[in-house]
Amino acid sequence: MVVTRQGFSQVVANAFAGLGFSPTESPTMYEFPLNMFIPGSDLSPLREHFDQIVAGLTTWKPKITKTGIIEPGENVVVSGATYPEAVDKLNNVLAQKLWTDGLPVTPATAERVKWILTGTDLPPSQSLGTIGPRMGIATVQQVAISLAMAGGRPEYLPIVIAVVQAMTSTGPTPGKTATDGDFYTQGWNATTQNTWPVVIVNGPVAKQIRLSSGYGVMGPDPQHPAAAVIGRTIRLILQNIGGGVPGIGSMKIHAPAMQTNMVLAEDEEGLPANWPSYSVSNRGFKPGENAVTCLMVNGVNLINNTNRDLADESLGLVINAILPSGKVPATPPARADMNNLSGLLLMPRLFPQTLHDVKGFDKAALQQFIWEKTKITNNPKQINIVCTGGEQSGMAVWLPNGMGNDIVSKPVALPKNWDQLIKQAEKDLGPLPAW
Amino acid sequence: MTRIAKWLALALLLAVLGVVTTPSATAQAPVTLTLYDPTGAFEVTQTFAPRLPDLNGKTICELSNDSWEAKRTFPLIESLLQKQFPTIKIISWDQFPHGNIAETGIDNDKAATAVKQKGCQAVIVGNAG
Repeated sequence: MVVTRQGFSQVVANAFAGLGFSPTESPTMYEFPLNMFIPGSDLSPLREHFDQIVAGLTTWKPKITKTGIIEPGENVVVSGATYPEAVDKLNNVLAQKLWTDGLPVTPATAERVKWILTGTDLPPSQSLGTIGPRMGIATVQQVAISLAMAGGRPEYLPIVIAVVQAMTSTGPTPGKTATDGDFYTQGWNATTQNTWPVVIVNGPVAKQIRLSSGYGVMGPDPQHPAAAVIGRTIRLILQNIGGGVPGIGSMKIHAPAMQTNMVLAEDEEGLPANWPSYSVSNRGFKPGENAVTCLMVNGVNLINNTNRDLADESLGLVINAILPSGKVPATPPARADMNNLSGLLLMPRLFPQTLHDVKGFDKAALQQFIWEKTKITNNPKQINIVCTGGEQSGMAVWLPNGMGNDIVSKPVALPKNWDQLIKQAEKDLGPLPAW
Repeated sequence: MTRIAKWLALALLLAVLGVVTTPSATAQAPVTLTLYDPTGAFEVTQTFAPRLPDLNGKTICELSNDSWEAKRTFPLIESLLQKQFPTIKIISWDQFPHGNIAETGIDNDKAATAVKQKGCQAVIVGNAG
């Protein structure tokens, strides 16, 4: 028997789903009015509905009485006089079922999903893990359905699969290696906190699929559609498989950036000498390996006016953004492993280049500098720095860490037909953009 | 005018008058789209416990995350239960791990172990959310 506040019944059902109960049937529950939260509030609603609590303990009968796999529902069938009419009807039906993100989706027909599945060698039925809080099973097929709905292409699927593998990771905390942390999706996908995932892609796959590391990175970009589509796919997975429907299964009070989350590539070609990529310096991968790293953030602090030839001033602005209070903790955090969440610094290529040329900084020196001035992590190596945003130097961004447990990385597995997929993308979308 | 030319002229006249439509304007076959359910399967590994026919003589336990006025609502629930079921035994929330602290909170194996050890026959959890 659960006593909870008004509007949280599905949150409670999802929490029980995390323990192995059916997410389609809430436990017995009494929802009291929201204003009973106010200290000193009138508790008479509880007194007046006390019979509900007694009934929950005595006479309630569950509908689901057996364990086992519960398959998804029947396929949705819609008809229209024309294709546009059918698509309109489809989107209306999906909106009523709470299966869209509010924008029209592309029909996830059998043909389209089959096409998307050419982006992996994994069997469609293979489970990648469960997505909390609903704990839906994210099979390769279900992930491909979400990618199809988001308007995706097969060459995006390896990235989406790696992201789902990271987000379903429930390994030991603190994680021993970059690939075995606990991403705690059942927590941050349900919380009231304003937290969202960032996906960093390293390796040649980023450029091959047109994932931006340049101007407008993380934003909409017709030359680099991958970020918006992959990010939207993640959103649909979190909502439909994971149960994170706003106000029903996800209680985020504010949810900036959740439409497409933040998916970005590192500008590996723009890195200065002695400046390893993020996946190499912080995540344990080899240069040239394809990898995704997922971490949770809860904001965007703009670092303005980080201009060339102003290296010292620019570094001061970075420190101010990371530690606005200016109060350096006497004792740094205890957790010393590399999976510890600790925010993320994004800088366009000319900024690290300036630090390299003017101050002689390599990446380790910058990490050391930031750590000494902020002590936000246990040690300098934990400072997360990614070069992205294009050729200039005028801006950087600090993303403070959000609710979550660990940073988790996964290698990206490309299918045998990868070259064919990339050639087809060039036919469909034109030559790769210059940057 | 040949017979074919006469027919063409008639067809043109009827088309102009709107009596005959061109093939492109005729009714098209309806388009049907069949979509997959995007929510996916899930596995039920636990089912809810059977209810108690009567709370008299039973041991009812409380678990709390210390939030949302739980320290006021639980005493009220206790008093109401005690009044309606005089022989009920209630073990209060403060006798179990409580709060949201990872090591000592409600979301902990220690809480489940304590529920079993204390012989709880039903549990009221609050105030979740």
